Order: sequence, then structure tokens, then C-alpha cells
Amino acid sequence: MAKTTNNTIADSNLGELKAPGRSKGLIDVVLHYRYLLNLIVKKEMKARYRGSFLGRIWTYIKPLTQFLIYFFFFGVVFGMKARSDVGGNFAVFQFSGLCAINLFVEVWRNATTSIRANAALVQKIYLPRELFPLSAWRVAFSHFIPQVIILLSACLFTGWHPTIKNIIAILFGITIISIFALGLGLIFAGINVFFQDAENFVDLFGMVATWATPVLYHWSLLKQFLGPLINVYFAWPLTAACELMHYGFLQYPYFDNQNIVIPHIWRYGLIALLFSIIVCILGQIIFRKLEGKFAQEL
Amino acid sequence: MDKQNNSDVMLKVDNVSKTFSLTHNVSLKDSFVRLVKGKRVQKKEFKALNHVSFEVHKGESVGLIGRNGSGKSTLLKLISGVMNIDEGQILARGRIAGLIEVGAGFHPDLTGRENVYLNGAILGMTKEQIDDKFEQIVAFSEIEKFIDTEVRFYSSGMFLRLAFSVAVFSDPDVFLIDEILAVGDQPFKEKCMKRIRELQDEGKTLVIVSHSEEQIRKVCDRCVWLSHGNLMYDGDVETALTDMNEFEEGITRGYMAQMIYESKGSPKFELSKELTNAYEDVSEKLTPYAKAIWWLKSEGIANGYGNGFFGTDDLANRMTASIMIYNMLGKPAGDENKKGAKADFDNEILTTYADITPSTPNANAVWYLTKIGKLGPVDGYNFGKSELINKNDMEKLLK
Repeated sequence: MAKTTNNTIADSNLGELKAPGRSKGLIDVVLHYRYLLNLIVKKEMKARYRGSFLGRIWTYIKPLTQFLIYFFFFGVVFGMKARSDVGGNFAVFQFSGLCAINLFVEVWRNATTSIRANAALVQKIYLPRELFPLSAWRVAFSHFIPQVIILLSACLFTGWHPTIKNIIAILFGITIISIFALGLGLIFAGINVFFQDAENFVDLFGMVATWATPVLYHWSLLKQFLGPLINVYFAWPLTAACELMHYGFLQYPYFDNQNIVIPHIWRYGLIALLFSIIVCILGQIIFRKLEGKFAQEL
Repeated sequence: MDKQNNSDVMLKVDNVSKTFSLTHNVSLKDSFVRLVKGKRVQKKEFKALNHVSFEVHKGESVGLIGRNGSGKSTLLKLISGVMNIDEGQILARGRIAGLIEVGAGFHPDLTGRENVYLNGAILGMTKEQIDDKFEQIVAFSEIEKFIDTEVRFYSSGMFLRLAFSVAVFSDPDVFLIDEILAVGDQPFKEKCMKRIRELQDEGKTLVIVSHSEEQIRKVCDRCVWLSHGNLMYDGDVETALTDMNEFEEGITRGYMAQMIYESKGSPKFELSKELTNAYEDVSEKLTPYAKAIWWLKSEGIANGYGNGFFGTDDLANRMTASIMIYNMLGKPAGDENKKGAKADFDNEILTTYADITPSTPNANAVWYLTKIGKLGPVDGYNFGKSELINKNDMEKLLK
């Protein structure tokens, strides 16, 4: 016990008087709370698969089943597989889109419930509250990565030779989704403390998002229905993100068909990225506005 | 506390106020009903802290004392940064952490070891610091054998011991301690006390909330006494405890009856045989309050315990006070015994208290007094129906 006395605080190290319970938000978490963030992510993962025989295998089973069902109906029954503008590989077309949309929905949903799920901590100990949406984001990624591994193996198996441009497109798409979903997650996590309607809204919208994005079908199919509104569809960040995934996995330089992805994909990608960054900054601002009342509302 | 030296101030609470809104979130349906019926949502507020100021200097151990609902816990939450301040400011030097709600970050699915690391990090320790203290933490908790077992298999005592051990070694600059030593058996309590002494010897700054006067006397050099969110006294421990006890001492039912009677200007009334024989423990020989009690009986303001006892010497609680005052006001929201009387509240129950059941006869009294702002909750959830009531509270109620 004598050892502890060595750690007696030196007066000079204590610094200035400052208000407790203030943080610089996301930046603070990333810079100073990484270790805790890792531990929280680990905890979430362990809690999720506790008492489960298959454990983490579930992260593979669920998206695979989802994929097989969609592939059978859209690819085979509705004949998407036979189209020339799906890059000659509808399986990859669809699965790359599904990975992206699943990531989006999971980040958003997990982040939305994260503050309520950690109510005990939020009420009792001060931590930058962004820790919880951010850990939800990390957990979602740990489910996304196995899906990408499946996707990559399938691609490599079918003779995929990506160029730098393909790789950039994929990373670009994932970046847009990460930022966009985190931004929305922050906003909704804050609102959800006051109105649990947020949770239901996210569930509902997650369902809509799958169809409002060219995941299961080729974008050109919507053209005749939307008319000039197709531009709104293009500007929707998830469309760009999803199409960037398609570009990355399917648009080979030697491929004649240039219609796999939407026109001006890089330009829309940039717009989507900017939009996502704005949403994320807005999310951070709204979250900080609301967090002051978290402890007493929960 | 007129220390001029500002550099050793570890914690500065400066004119701090905190108000809670008692209006709950309403659903769309409620809002619609209200709109149709033309009823307004009344904003009810509860002032948990009222312009409180004090300073804590380096190496001091300050006790926060006061009854439930005095604002101690709210103040600790403001100091730790969990809640935001409405008015004024709190400044602190260094890292604040503490034994508030021990075990809040524990997860049953993790092993003891994993929980030590997780909670150490939650309390602001780095990995190296936890590595460094790990042996000590485990040894202190006395659960070496089970450290790699999932916490869900721990007994509640083991769980709390481990949680407490992590907190006690988390080494903050300002240590907040809420209800120390509610944990474990006697030997463990003594060990904790010893550890707190060590922290004091190391020059740590402690802020302690406790209901145990014995603990406050043992640990603190100074006391800050809060009552209903107001700072009543800041200084010497013995003076604070004596003053508080004197002030907060609960009044008896008989005394309460007397206060109500006097507040009405001690009216004259007919004494009947029926009245004077109503209670076995009330007669002019037995109690100085007899006349007041009989008057309350004749006015239907207070009842006894049913079979002939008023309970003159029993301590009055908030529920007793609510009922008497409600009756004194003439049961404005209706008689709870009449059918449909409760309807007034159905659409605008302002506060749902965890300890008041809506269908019980006394709920109307509590709700009405809350509605008119006479009584509020003792904490966020409870009305505190069995909490004692003191002279000061009663005077306020009778205003």
C-alpha cells in the first residue's frame, strides 16, 4: 500500500480552474478517449454475442441470407441478372450495395439508441457523450468488415483486378456513409433521449433507404418514373455512396458498358461528401445543445 | 473560510442554482386532448439549488450534509459535470472522479478483470495507470480467485467490493464520495475507511455526502449544510451537525395539529363529549395539543389511527402534512372517497411520483399541493411520503 504515496499529486500539474463536464466533442473522444472507446466497443461486442453458440458467425449469416433472398427474387425471378448494365455480375452489384446500406442503417440505428442504452453511465459519470454514438459506429464497422471480406473474396475469385481508381471509389463511398450516418446518428441520439419516436423513425427510414438507393435494382429503372426528379435521387448521398461502391467493384477500365453507375459519379460523390460533412457538423452542434439535459431526462 | 490564497482552491462553487422542470414530456394524444379541452400545460418547477457558493481547498475533506431532497446529490452531479448548471458556475482543478454510484459502468457479461479496466478508464485512468494499480485493486477487493469470472456470477457484495476498489484507486485530484461505506461487511468498511484516511494523508481533496453523522465526524474537516437547496451553514463540523439536527428535527403529529390550529387564529369551538372521547391518547391532562386536535377533528381536517388513537407523539411525515393541509383547504380537487373526483387530474397529472399510487385515497392531496406549488418531489421521482417534516417546512406550508 505504501506504493501509492509515490503518486502524490504535484501542485504544478493540476493546471487551471476549469468548469467540469465540458469537452470538445468528437475530437476530444478521438484524441483523448481512444482507450476507453476501445473498451466500450469490446464490451458491446461481447455483450451482443454472449450466450450465443454461433457467436460472431451471425455477422456472416444474416447478410448472406438477406443477400440470397434478394438475389433470388431480383436477380433470378425479376431478371436483373440478365441486364447488361449491372457489370455482368449482379451478385457483386447487389452485395456491394447491400453492404453499404447495411452499414448506413446499422450505424444510424445503433447510434440513435446508444445514449439510452448507456443511461446508467450518462446519468452518473461525466464522459464526453459522443463516446456512445462513436462506439456504436465502431461496432457497426466490425459487422461491416466481415461483409466486405466476403465481397472481396467473391470478387477476387471471379477475377477482379482493381485499379487505384476502383479502390479510391470504394473508400470514397465508405467515407461518405460513415460520416453521413454518424451525423444522423448524433442528431437522433440526442432527440431520442427526449422523444423515443426517434428510434421508430430510424427503423422506418432504414427500410425506406434500402429502396431509395440503387441497391437492389439499376438506377436507370427509376428514370421513367421520376422524370426530372431523378436529379434529387442522384443528389441523395446514399445514391452516390452506393454507386461509388458499384464503381469500385464493377467498373473496370476495359469494360465497355459505361452505364453501370450514374452519370458524373465523382461530382455527385463530392457533393455527397460535402453534404455528409455538413450533416455531421450539424449533428455535433445539435448533440451538444441537447446533451446538457441528458442526465435529468433519462 | 476566508483563505486569501486562491491558488490552492480545488473546487469553487459560485452562486450556483439549478431548477428542474416537473412537466413531463407529453404525447401527441395528450397534447391533442389538451388542445380540444382548452387546458394549458402548467409549468411547474422545482428549485433544487438556490444560489449556493463555497470553496474547497487542496487537502480539505468537506462534508455535504442535509436531508433527502436538500440538493446534495444534485450538487455532486453538477460538480462531476453530469448535469449542467442553470445559473452561476463551478470551477475545479485537475481531474474529478469519485465514488458516485459505485459500479455504474460495470457490465455483467465482462469478467472482473475486464470490468476493472473498463471502469478504470471510465473514471479517467489510462491503461498504464490501471496496469500499475491492478494488483492493489484486486487485493483490496479480496476477490483474487474470481477475477477472471464473469461479474454476473458475483454475489452483490463481491460486485460492490470490486467496484468500490476500482473507484478508490482511481486517483483523481478531487474525490467525490456519495454515501461511503454503504458497501460490504464491517471489516471491509473499516478497510475503506482506512483507505480514505490514506487518501487524506496523500493530500487528496475530498467532497463527501453522507447521512451518517459518525462518518462525517470521522472524515470531514468542514461541513456544508444544505436545506431545500439553500446553503444554511459552511464551517465547523460539530456546529453544522448540531444546527442541522436542531433545525431539521421532525415535528410530532400533535405539534403539527397545534401549528395548523394556531395558523387559523386558534378559533373557538364547541367541545362535545363525542370529540373529547374520540382519542384515548388525547385529553387536556395528557397533551398540551388536545384542544388543537379536537378542533381538527371537528373540522374534519385530521383523523387519528382509526381505533381511537391520534398518535400525538408520533413524528409527522410529508404525507400526514399533505393530507391535513389539503383537508384544511377544503379538499379543492374533490373528495377522494367520491366517485369521479379524481377526474380533474386525469389529463394533467403534473408529476407522477414513484411512491404515490394514483388510485390511493391520499393521491389527490399530494397532487393538488404539487399543482399549487406547495410541495414538490424530494428527488426526481419520489414524493417522499414518509420523510419527516420539520417546523420550518410546516411554516412554509401554512403560509
